Amino acid sequence: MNKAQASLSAVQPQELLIEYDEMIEELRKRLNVLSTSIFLLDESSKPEDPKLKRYLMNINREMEKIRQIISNYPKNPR
Amino acid sequence: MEKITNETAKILVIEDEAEVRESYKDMFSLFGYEVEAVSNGRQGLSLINKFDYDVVVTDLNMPEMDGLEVLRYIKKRKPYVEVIVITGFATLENAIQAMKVGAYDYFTKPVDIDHVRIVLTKCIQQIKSKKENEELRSLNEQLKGLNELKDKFITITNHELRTPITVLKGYIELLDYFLRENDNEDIGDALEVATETMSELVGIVEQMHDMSSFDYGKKIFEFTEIDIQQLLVTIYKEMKIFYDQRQINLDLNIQGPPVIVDGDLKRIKRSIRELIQNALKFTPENGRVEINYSVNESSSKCFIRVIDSGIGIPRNKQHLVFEPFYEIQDVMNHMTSKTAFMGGGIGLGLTLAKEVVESHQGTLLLESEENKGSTFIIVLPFKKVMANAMSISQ
Repeated sequence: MNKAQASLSAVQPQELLIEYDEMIEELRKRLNVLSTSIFLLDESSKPEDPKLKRYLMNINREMEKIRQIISNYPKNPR
Repeated sequence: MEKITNETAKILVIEDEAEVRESYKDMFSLFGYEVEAVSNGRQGLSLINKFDYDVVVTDLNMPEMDGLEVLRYIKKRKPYVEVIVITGFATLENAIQAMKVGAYDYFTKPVDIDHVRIVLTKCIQQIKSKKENEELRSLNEQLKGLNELKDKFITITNHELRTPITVLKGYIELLDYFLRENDNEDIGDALEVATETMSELVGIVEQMHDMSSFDYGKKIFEFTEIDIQQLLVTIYKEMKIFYDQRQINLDLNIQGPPVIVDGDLKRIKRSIRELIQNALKFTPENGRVEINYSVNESSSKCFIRVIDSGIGIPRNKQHLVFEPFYEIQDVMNHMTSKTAFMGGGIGLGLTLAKEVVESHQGTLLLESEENKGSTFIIVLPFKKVMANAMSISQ
């Protein structure tokens, strides 16, 4: 292990987990923004178009999957 | 864990003869221990139940409750307390029996002061080592727990999140294409926010993936020889288009010979890009950003300066810019784009850039004046100077 790699060993696992926790929170926020934008798009576009309907349905389905993963995310024991 | 030193080690003396008891008390105090003394086993056990002692020194032959009973009681209730018994030559067999029951050692009367000092010092050291071992064991358990948690995170980012994020990104691109093709004017803003947010989501998952590369706090770096000058030219070409889109002048000034830095190419590149992207974000239209490269051969260091004519950073906020999730701009002016003026990010870029530079034994410095601009300076140690010196200005 060289000097550069050695200096990284100072990073504590707990700090890493806290950062991870915060990133999950950021992910949650961005997902909310995306969800709102998709809702607005859905509201302001032509609902009768089957292609558009399918895209929006699939987008909502994938967002729901991400939401599920985030809600099952293990809590950091701070 | 409380560290035991001679000053903090607590000793309880149980001895029925008053003069002898006092002499032991004086002797142990002289050694620097905190000492309490009682005249019989029952009083001793009463104190042991109420307070924590490191060592109990007890006479074996006492009325009411003898030293052996005291020893058995302590080993049953508080096995971590060490017991040293005191016996006369006539009852040496009892001392040997006491050792079998769990006594740490024994003193024979009349006690030898040097022997007592040596035995007590060894005993206290052993207690200290035991406690430290326990602490290490507990720390190890904690680390194991943290590592298991980290593995769960890796599973989340690498397997569970990546798939839906990829599919989601694909559908948002399709939606973007479809709606633009159908010339729907009402959806412009929402579509732009959705696209930008999507790219941020991808960015966050990428960063989470990077963080998962930590192994018990050690990030895995792939070290190669990097021609920093060449790298700057590549980054300049990649970033120029974003600057052109916003009518901001981007210059690259190379002064000094090309040097080789031993480092992780991907991460060094990302750190430099982060500074250039940051300059773009905080420089208004028609502004100017310079990337300056210079070398100090005597100190074996190269300098990469990213100088912008942007909004600058107030003095009282400068210490915060490398903190995670900190964004200097006014929240009201926040935009989701990473390249637009005052555009957003998740506030990790500069933090990671600093971390990467420092892990290459380098420094990331900031000089800034509000409303005049900022200069970020990367100072990196180089391994060698390459022969073909050049001077570039683009």
